[in-house]
Amino acid sequence: MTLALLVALPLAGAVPTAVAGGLVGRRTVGSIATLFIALSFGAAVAMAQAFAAGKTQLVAELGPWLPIRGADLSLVITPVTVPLVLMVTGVSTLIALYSIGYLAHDTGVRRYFAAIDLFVFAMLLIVVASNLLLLFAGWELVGLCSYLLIAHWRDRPAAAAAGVKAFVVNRVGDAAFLVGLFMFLGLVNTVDLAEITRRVQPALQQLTVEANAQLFAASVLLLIGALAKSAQLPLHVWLPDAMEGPTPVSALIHAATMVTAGVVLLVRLGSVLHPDVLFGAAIIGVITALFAAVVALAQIDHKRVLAWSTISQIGLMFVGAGVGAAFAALFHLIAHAFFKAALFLGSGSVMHATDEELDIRRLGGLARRTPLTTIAFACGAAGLAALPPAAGFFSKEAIAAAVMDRPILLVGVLATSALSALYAARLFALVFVAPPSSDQARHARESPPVMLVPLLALAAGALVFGALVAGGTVPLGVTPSAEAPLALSLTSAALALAFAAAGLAIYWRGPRAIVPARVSNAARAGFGFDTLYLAAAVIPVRAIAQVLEQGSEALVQLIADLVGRAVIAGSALARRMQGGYVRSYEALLLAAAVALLAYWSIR
Amino acid sequence: MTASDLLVALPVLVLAAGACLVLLGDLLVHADGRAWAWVGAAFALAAAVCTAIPAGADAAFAGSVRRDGASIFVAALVGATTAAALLLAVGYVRRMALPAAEVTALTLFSASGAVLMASAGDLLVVFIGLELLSLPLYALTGLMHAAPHADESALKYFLLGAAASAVFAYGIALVYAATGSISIGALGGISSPVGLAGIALLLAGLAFKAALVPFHFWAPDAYVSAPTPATAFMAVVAKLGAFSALLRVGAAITGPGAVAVDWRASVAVIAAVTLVLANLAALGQQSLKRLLAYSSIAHAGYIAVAASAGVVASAAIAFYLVVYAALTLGAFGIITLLENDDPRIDDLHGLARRRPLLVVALGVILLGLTGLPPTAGFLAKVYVFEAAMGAQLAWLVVLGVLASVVSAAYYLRVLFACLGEGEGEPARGPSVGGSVVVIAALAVLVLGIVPGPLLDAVQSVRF
Amino acid sequence: MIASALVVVPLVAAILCVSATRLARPIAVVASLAVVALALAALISGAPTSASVAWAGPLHAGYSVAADGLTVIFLALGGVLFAIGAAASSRVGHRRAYFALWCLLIAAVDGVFVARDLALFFVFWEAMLIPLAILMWQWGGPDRRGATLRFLLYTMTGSAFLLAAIAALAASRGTLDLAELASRPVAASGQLLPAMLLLAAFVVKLPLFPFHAWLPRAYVAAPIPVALVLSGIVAKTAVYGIMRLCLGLFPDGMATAAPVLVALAAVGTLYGALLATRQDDLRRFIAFSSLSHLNLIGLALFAATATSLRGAVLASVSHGLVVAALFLLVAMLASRTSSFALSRAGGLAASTPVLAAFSTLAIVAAIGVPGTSGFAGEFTMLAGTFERFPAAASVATLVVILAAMYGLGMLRRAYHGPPLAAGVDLAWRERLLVIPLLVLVIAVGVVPRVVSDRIPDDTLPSVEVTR
Repeated sequence: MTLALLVALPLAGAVPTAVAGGLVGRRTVGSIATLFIALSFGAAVAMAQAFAAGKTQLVAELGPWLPIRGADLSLVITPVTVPLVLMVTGVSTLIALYSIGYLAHDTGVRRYFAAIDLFVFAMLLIVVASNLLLLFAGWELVGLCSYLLIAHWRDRPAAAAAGVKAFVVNRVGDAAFLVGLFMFLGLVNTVDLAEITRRVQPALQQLTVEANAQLFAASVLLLIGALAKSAQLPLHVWLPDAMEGPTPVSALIHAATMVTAGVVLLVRLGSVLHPDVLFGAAIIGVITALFAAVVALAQIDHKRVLAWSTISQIGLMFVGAGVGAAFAALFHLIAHAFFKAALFLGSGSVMHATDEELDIRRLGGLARRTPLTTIAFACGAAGLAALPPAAGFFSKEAIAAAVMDRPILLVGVLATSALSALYAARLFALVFVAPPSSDQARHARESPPVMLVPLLALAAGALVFGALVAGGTVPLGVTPSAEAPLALSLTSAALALAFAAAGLAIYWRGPRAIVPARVSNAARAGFGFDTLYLAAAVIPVRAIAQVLEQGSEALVQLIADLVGRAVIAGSALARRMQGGYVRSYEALLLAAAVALLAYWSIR
Repeated sequence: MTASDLLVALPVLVLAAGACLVLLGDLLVHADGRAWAWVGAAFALAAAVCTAIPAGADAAFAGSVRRDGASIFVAALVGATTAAALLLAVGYVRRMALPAAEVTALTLFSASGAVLMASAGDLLVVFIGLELLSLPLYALTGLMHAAPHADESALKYFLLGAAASAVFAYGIALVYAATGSISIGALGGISSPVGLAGIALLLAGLAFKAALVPFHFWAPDAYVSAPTPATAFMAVVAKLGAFSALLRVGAAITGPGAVAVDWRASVAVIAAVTLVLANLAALGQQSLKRLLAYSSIAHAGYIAVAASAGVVASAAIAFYLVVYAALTLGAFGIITLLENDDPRIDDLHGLARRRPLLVVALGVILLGLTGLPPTAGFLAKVYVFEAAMGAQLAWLVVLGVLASVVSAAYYLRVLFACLGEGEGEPARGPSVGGSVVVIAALAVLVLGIVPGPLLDAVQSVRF
Repeated sequence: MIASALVVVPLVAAILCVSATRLARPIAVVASLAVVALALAALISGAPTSASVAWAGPLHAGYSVAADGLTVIFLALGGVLFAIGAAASSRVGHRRAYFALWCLLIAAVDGVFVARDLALFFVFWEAMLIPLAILMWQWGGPDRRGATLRFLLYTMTGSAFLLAAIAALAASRGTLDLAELASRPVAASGQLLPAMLLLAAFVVKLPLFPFHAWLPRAYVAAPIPVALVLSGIVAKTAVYGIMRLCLGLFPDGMATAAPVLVALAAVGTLYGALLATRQDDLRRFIAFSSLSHLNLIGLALFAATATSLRGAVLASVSHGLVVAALFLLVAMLASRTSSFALSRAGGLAASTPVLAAFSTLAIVAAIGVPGTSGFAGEFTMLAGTFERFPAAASVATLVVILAAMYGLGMLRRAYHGPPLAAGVDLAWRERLLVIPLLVLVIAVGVVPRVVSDRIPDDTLPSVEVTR
C-alpha cells in the first residue's frame, strides 16, 4: 500500500497540475506539485522505517497490464532500492521547492510542475518496477519528461532542438533496450525480474554456446540502453545540450532522476546480465569518466562544466556497477545526487543573481555578494572534488576500493578523481573568488529563501552523507564488497587535495589559458562527437529520407500513374479499331471468322 | 399443325400478331402515335404472360420448335423487355416525331424473331429467327432521319449483318453436308473437318448477333443512331436471341469427345477479347450512348464467360440476362428522359441538383452495371464467375474481375459527372418512361437484396 | 439480432438524415454512438448476436452475421470515430447528402465487421467504397478528383482479386459461410493462392508498402472528418479481414508467404517513418506516419503469433484513436494558420497552449510512449513478432527512433521557436472533440487488457510457438 502510494502520489500530483492548474495561482501550482512529491517522500520514509524494523521486501500488485507474461502493474522494493527511493523523492522535493522560486515569473509553470511530478513518478517506476516492462515504461517516461522540461521554454529554438535531441538519442538506447527485452522474453518467456533472475542465474553457470550468445547479445542491448540513458560514451551527446532547460530541471535530470537510471538498471540486473558485458560497462565507464573530465575542464559555461562532470561521475558509477560493487555504485549515486543537486541549484542561484549569466569568464567575486549560495556551492564542489570529509570522498573511495585488483581501472578512477578536483576548484574559483569581470557579477543579488533553503539542505547532505554511510549510521541495503585500505584512502585524499589546491591557485585571479587554444577548443566542443553524429547519422538519415521521397515514393506514384496511363493508352488503341469504314469492319469480321474456321478445321 | 403446336409457338405468334395488328391498325385508325406503343406493350406483355400457359407438348412442328425452361424463360424476358422498351418509347416517339406504329411493329417483329431463336429445334429455324430479329433492327436503326449518321449506321449494320447472316447460313450448309441433318441435336456427333468448319461459322454468326468482339463493329454505331428505346431493346433482345442460340448449339456440342473442349475454349477466348477490348474502348468515350454501347458489349463478354463454362452455367446466364435487361433498360431509359438524345458525359453536370431522383436511379443502375453490391449486378457477376471457376477458368475470372475495375472507372465517371456543378437539365414531372426507369432501378436493387425468387426460377432454365 | 441491428440502425439513420436538414448531424452522431452502445451491449449481455438467413443459395452466399469480441472491439472503435467525425463536420454544405452518406458508410463498415459469410463480407466491403468516394469527390480539397479515382481504382483492383477468390471458394468448397469454411479447411499445400488472393484486397486497403500509392493523395484530398474515418477505421477493416479471413481460413498459406510479407511490412514501417520526417503538409505527415503504423500492424499480423495478433488489435485501436486526434488537431492548427503547411506555422504554443498540449499528447501516443495506447500496441506487436521473426522485429524496432524524430520534429516546427504564427486557443467546442479521444488513448494505454482480453481465442492461433 505504501509502495503503491509512493509511486502513485507524484502521478496523482501531475494530473491535477496539468488539468486544473490554471484555476489556481502560479505559486499554488508549484506548492501542490511539491507537496505531492513530499508526500511521496513521506511514504518512502515510512517504508525505510519498516525496512529498518526488519522487513526484507514489499510488494504491490496493481493488476495486469499488457498481454505478455509477467507484464503486470506490480512493484517491489527491497533494501537495496530503499535508499534510492529516499534519495529520488527527497532530492526531488527540494528541487521542486526551489523551482517555485526559480520559476516565479514563468507562464508555463503548470506544465513545468506537471512534468516534474511525472518525472519523479517515472524515475520511481524504474527503481521499484517488478518487471522489465514496467521498468521500461519508466525508462521511456523519463525520456519524455526530459524532453518536455528541456524544451520548456518553447520560444527558444535551441531549447526545442535540445529537447528533441535528448529524446531521440534516448530512443536509440530505448530501441536497443526493447530488442534486448525481446531477447530476454525469448530466453525465459517472462518479463518478471524475479523470475528472470531465478531462471537465468543458475543457467549462467552452465550455458550452452547458443544461449550464451543470446544472453550476451541481450545484455549488450540492455547496456546500450543504459549508456544512452546515462549519457555514457558514445551516446552522451544529448546531456550537455540539455542545459537549455531551466536549471532546476538540470538538477533533477543530473542528480535525482534520469541519468542515474542506467546505473540503477545495471545494479538491479547485475545478477542477470552477462558477466563479460558487465565488465564492458566498467570499461566504458572509466573511459567516459576520463573523457568527460577532460572536457569539463575546458568548459566556460558553468552549467556545462557541471553537465560534463555528471557524465564523468556516472562513468565512475558504471565502473562500480560493472565490477559488481553495487554498494560503491549506489553510494556514489546518492552522494552524487546530493552534491550535484546542490551544485546545479547553486548554479541556478548564480544565474538568478546575475541575470542569467552563464559564462564563467564573465563572473567572479560572487562570494561576497551571495554568501549563502557560495557556501552551498562550496559544499557541493567539495563533494565533487572528493575532498574529505565531503560525501564524494567516501563514495569515490568505495569505487576505488572495488577496483583495487584491476590496476587499469584503478588508475582511471583515481585520475578521474584528480581531474574532478581540478575542474571543481576551477569552477568555484572563477565564479566566486576571482575578481568580478562584468556588471552582472558586480551587482549580483542573493536568491530568495524558497530557493536558498533547499539549496542549503542539499549542501548539508553533500557534506555529511558520506560520513554517515561510511560510519554505518545510514545503511545502504548492500554491504561493501571491499574495504578500502588505508593507503588508498590516503592516496585519494592527497590527490583530491592537491588537485583542488592547484585548481584554486591557478584560477584564483581569473581565467587563464594553460593549454593551447586549439586543444581547449576541441575539448570544449566535446571532441567533435556532435559533428561526428551529424555526419554519420543525422545527415545520412535525412539523405535517405530525401532519396526515398524523391526516388522510391516518386516511383510508387509513377507506377500507379503508369498503370493508369497504360490502360488509357489501351483504351485509345481499342477505340482506334472502330475506324468507321465498313470495309475494315468487314475485313476484320471475316478475318475473325476465318481464324475461327482455321482453328476448327486444322485442330 | 395441331393445337399444341400453336400453343408451343404461342409467344412468337402473339408478338407477330401484335406487330401485324399495329401495322394494319395504323392504316385504318388515325390514333395518337403513343397509343400504338401502349398497344404494342400490351401485346409484348401478353406474350410474356402466355408462356405460363401449359402447352401439353415439349416440341412442335416436328421438333423444329421446342418449349422448355430456356425457351419459356427467354420468351418471358423478351416479352417483358419489349414491353418496357415500348413504354419508354411512349414519350420518346412523340418528342422525336417518330412514326410510332412502325417503331412498335418493327420492335414486335424483332422480338418474335428472338423468341423464335430461343425456341428453335433446328438450325434453319434459328436462321429464320435470326433474320426475323435482324431485319426490323436494320430498319429501326435508320429510323431517326434527323440524327446525323442514322442512314449510314443502318447501312453499315445491314451490310455487316448480311455478311454475318451469310456466314451463319454457310455454317448451316456445312453442318448439313457433314451430318445430313439440320437438327441442333445432330451437332453433337460431328467429327469431320467439314462439320467442324460449319460449327466455327455458326459461332461466328451468332457472335456477331451477340456483339462479341471482334464481331461487334456494327454495335456502337447502330446503338448510337437508333432511337434510344430501340437501342435498349436491341441491346437486350438481340443478345437474348443470340445467346440462347449460342447456348443451344453449345449444349448440343458439349457431348463426349474433344469438340466440346474446343467449343468452350473458343467461346472463352472470344469472351476474354471482348472483356478487354470493350471495357478499354468504353473508357475513353465522351458520348454516354456510345459508352453504354460498349458497356453492353462488355456485358456480352461476361455472359460469354459463363457460356464458356458450358450448359451448367445456364442458370447463371439466365440470372445475368435478367439483371442485364433491367440495367440496360434503366440506363438507356434514363437517356430517353433527357432533353438531349445523345448527351455527352459532361452534359450531365448539375443533374444531381436538378433531378435528384433520376440521379439516384442512375446511380443504382451504374453500380449494377459495375457489379457493385448491393445491386443485383453484383450477384449476377458473382454467379457468372462461380460458374467459370467451376469450369476451371480461373484465368478468365481474374481477367473478368480486372476488367470490371476498368469498367468502374467509366461508370463512376458518369455518376461523378452528375454530381458536378453545372446547368443540367430542367426538372420534369413524372412520365411513363420515368416509371420504367424507377422500376428497373428498384428491380436491380431488390434483386440484389432478395434474389431468392429469381434464383429459384432460373434453376429450371437449361439451354 | 444485435449484429443485424448494427447495420440496420445506421441505414435507418441515413434515411432520417435525408429527411431532416437541421438534424442531420445530430442524427449521424447518435447513430454512431448507438453503434458503440449496441456493440458493447452485445459484449456485456452475452446474448447470442448471430443471425442467419438464406440469401442467394445457388451462389452459396447466405446472410450470416454475428458479433464476437473481435468484432465488438472494432465496432466500438468505429462508432467512437464516426461520432467524433460527424460532430467535427460542422461546416459542410449539402448537409443532408453528406450525413446520409456518412450513415451509409457506418452501415457498410459495421457490415464488414459483423459479416460471417464471404459474399456478404464482400458486399459490405465494396459498399464502403461508394459513400467514401462520393464524400471525397464532393466535399474534398483541390486534388479530390484525382485522389478519389486513384483511391477507388486502386482499392477496387485489390477487391477484384478478393472477388475472384470468393468465386473460387464458392465453386470448390460449395459454401461461403465462414464457420463452415473453417470447419472444412483447405489442405495446407493449396492455401497459398487463395490466401494471397484474399490478401490482395487487404494489403491495398491497409495499405502495405508498396501498395500505398493512393494513401498520401487521399489523406490530403479528403475532407478532414472523412480522412479521419478513412484512416481510423476503414483501414482497420483490412486488419480485421487479414485476421478473420486470411489467417482464419488459410493459416498455412499465410505462413508460407509470411517471410516476404513480413519483410515488406518491416521495410514499410521504416519507410513511412522516414518519409514522415520530410513532410511539410501536415496531412501528408499523418499519412506517412500512419503508413508506418499500419505497416507495423501488418508486420504483427503476418507474424501471426497470439501475442503479435493481440498487439495488432491493440495497435489498431490505438492508431484509430490517435490518428483521429491528430487529424482534428491538425485541422484546428490549419484553421489558425490558414494552411496545412508546417512552414506556415511556428511558435504557435505561445498563443495556443492548449492546442500545443493536446498535440503533444497525441504525438506522444503516436510515437508509442508508455502509458499511452500507442505503446501497448507497439510493444505487444513487436514482442510477439520477435518470437517468430526476430530479425524483422528488430529492424522494425528502429521505428521508435524515427518516430521520435518525425513526431517531435513536427511539434518543434509547429509549436516551438519564436512565434511566427498566432491564433486563438481552442474553444471548448473544439476541446470536447479531442478530449474523449485523448482520454481513451490514456485509458487503453493503462489498461490495455480490457481490450486485448476481449479477443476471442478462436481468432488467435491455437498452437503457440514453442520455445
